[in-house]
Amino acid sequence: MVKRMVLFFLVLAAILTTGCWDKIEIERRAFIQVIALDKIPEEERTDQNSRYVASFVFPNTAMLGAQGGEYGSGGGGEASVTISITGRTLSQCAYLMSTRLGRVVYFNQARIMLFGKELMKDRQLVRETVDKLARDFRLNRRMYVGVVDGMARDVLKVKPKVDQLIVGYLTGLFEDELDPARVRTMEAGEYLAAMREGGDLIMPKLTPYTDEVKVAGGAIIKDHRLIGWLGEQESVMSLLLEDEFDSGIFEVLYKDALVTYDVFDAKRKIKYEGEQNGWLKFTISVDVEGNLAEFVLGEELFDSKVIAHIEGLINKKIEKGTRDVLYKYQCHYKMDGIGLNEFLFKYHPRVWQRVKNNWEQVFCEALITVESDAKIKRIGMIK
Amino acid sequence: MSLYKRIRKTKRNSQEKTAKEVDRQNIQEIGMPADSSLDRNLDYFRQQLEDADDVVYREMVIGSRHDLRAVLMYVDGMVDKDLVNHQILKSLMLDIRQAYDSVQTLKEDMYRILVKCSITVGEISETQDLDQAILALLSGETLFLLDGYAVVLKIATRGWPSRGVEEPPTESVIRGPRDGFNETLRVNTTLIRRRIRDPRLKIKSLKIGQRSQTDVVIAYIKDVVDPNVLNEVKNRLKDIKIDGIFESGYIEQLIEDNWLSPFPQVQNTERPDEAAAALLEGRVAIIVDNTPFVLLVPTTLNSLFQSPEDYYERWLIASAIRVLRFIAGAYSLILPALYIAVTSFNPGIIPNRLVLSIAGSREGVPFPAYVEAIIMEVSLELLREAGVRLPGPIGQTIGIVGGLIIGQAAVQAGIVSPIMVIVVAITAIASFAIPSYNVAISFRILRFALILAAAFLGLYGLVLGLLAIIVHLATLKSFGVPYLPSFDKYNIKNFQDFVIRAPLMTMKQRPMFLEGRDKTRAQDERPEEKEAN
Repeated sequence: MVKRMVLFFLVLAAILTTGCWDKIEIERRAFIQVIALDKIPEEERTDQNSRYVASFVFPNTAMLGAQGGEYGSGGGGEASVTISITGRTLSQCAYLMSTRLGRVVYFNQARIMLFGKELMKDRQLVRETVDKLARDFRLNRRMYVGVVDGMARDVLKVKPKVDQLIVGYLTGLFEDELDPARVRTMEAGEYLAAMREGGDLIMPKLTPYTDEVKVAGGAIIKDHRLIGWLGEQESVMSLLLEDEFDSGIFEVLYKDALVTYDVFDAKRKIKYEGEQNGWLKFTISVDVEGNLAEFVLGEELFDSKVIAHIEGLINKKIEKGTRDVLYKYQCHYKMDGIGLNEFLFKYHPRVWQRVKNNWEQVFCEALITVESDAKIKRIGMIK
Repeated sequence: MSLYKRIRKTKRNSQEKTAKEVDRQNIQEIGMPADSSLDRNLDYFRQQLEDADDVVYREMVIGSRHDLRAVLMYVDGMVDKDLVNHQILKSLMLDIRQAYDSVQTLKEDMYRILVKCSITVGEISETQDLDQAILALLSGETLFLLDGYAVVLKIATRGWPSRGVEEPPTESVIRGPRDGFNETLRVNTTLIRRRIRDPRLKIKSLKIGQRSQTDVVIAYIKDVVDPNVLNEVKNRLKDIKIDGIFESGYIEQLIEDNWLSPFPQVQNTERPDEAAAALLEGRVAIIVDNTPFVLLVPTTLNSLFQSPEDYYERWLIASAIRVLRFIAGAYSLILPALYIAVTSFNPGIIPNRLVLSIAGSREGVPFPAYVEAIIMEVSLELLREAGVRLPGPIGQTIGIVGGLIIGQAAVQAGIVSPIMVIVVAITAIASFAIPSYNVAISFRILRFALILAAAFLGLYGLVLGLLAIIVHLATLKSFGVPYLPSFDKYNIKNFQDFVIRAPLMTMKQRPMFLEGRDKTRAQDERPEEKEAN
């Protein structure tokens, strides 16, 4: 009897005292949507110890409620709120944020994480942020990451033309499947994996303007450090080499007119061709399929020779572009941006075993040929 | 003392009592023997039926010399007056004289002649026990007593005003027969008999209730029924000791396995086609006089999610509707609890945009989500209950007023959020989509329990609550048959009639969980297949 009573009260206590403090009504939370991390600029440094400026964006739910119809208590102001905090560590920034806000800070819904240029140039800070990102279970692995050319917080100041919330605008930029391939996307999970495996990667580059953000080009990270940028056209070519290219437009000059080639599918294949004079030899073949989108009036394209000629022009353009990018990778940055190491590791493990210890040099000396095979599938409506 | 022990003890007590009762009944059954004197018998009747003014004593003398006294007794209103007047009274008093001049000379055999030759009623029987005669009288039979014979003749003249065979309001279907059980036992057994013309369909009657003496019928098909279940039903019915049975609900509550469970362990139906189908599955039907609700045992959770229409529509349609019904079941059980758990504890799993609209809509609502949910659910149940009790036209008014108050005004006043209104409305609609009213109600009760669990522990509490429900369901039995039979044996056949309803030609066997002898339902392949072979 006594045992039962004790058991009963234990169960009751377990039920009544667990979890209740986890209960926070949804409108009391601040749903952080965008996180922008910067290295603190010297002129803003007030405290000797602070190193970061962390900016958080969360929606003004009261205002959204008012927008949602005639109901809700209403409330004015901006659709989203941005708060910047300086601190020694990221954890400190988050903590300071919640002490100032009066709402419970909630990171699970964060969709975008941006890093400033200066921060990415500092190897120590990069490694700290990567560790925080990996360690904190509250941060979503599916959020998009990107490097901002400038201060990351400047992106948050942008007033989008259409979208009410900056997060909607930015995810729209990243997510839109039909966007030209110059948009590179990277999720936090990929970012962490690449950072763990040596820290050589190419990240999306964002450039803020007054009322828009441009997501184009790439940030070259080598050994956990930003070492340079890829331009828009270079980024397209690099995407082709990485087999990440989905759709995009190439223009070639034919008969003094610009021919626009609209790519809808591209495939890349790497082939290891053995060694030559101690240099590894690779052939990268790129198969591109697309439509002819634009030409000039009066020019009909029923002649297969003409089409083959245009295809040849496109091939030349692609081969030249990729060669330029490869040159940059091999000679300038000495960084394997194509994933040849992964290719060797997967398909030629013996070769990889031999070269892995001095891969940087082997990569820079490798003979890489690009063979492009562009096909024009449709030439559009005529008459 | 623990609850369990107390229950066990009362059970034992009741068993002891049962033994005593049986003895007493045996003594009673001998009853009062009939006397050969009419007056003495009448005195006994008059004494027993004192102040029962609805009993009619029709005294008469028969025979051409008017020397044979007889009495006809019946309860006014419970007999078919036409039958009594024309087939009994007229025969006895007029026709007999014309036909039999020699009756007087055959005085010794008078009774036999009367019985065999003159009462033109289908069903008659004799008794020498006056108490039994009284029971028959009160059941609507007419008693005939003849002076000089120590026997009472019971003439079946039952006939009282009764509702016709109408469409059952609680279980209407789009396709299917429109007849439904009514309050008269015989009509109900007839409706079943008309569907199964099998001599092996047994209709056993017994009386339950010391005072009400209600007729109860156990119907089953002899070689299809699971004998264990049948015995269990018989034993449990025998053990019922109560003064009156007015609805099959009494019996349901007295014979169910677990009276603490929120789940109904006995199915009830107003539809004869459903009852007949259950009989063919090997189940037992318990039909109670004075109620259109027939009990079907054993019951599984599965059968409570079925409608007879499932078998009348083509299998694809039926399966789609069934899937919908299970979704409705899940909605009505967990939707508000899930909403609370997710918004108050784990908003991380809501899609990004939805979080904003929920948070925006809850902005300014003074209550936490679970209080909001309970307010809304309780007002909805209030509306439903009020609507049930009110006559049709007023019920509609309540619906409109309630709908406006809940849907519009409460939201505008900022007391509840519009999303909560949507959640509650979907839940309500879903709970009405469950075909069995009793299981829908038990889901509603559990919904409140889950709301509280979710309010305390979030998703963890919700899952804990669901686990508890599943554990309970898994241990629950209805007449020795598991309540969730589909899962206890891994056989594809068990799932043929569960969430989907397989095509009829593939369902060749009766449900596996019942162990009757005749397992096969259908054998023939479709003609095309035969030709192909």
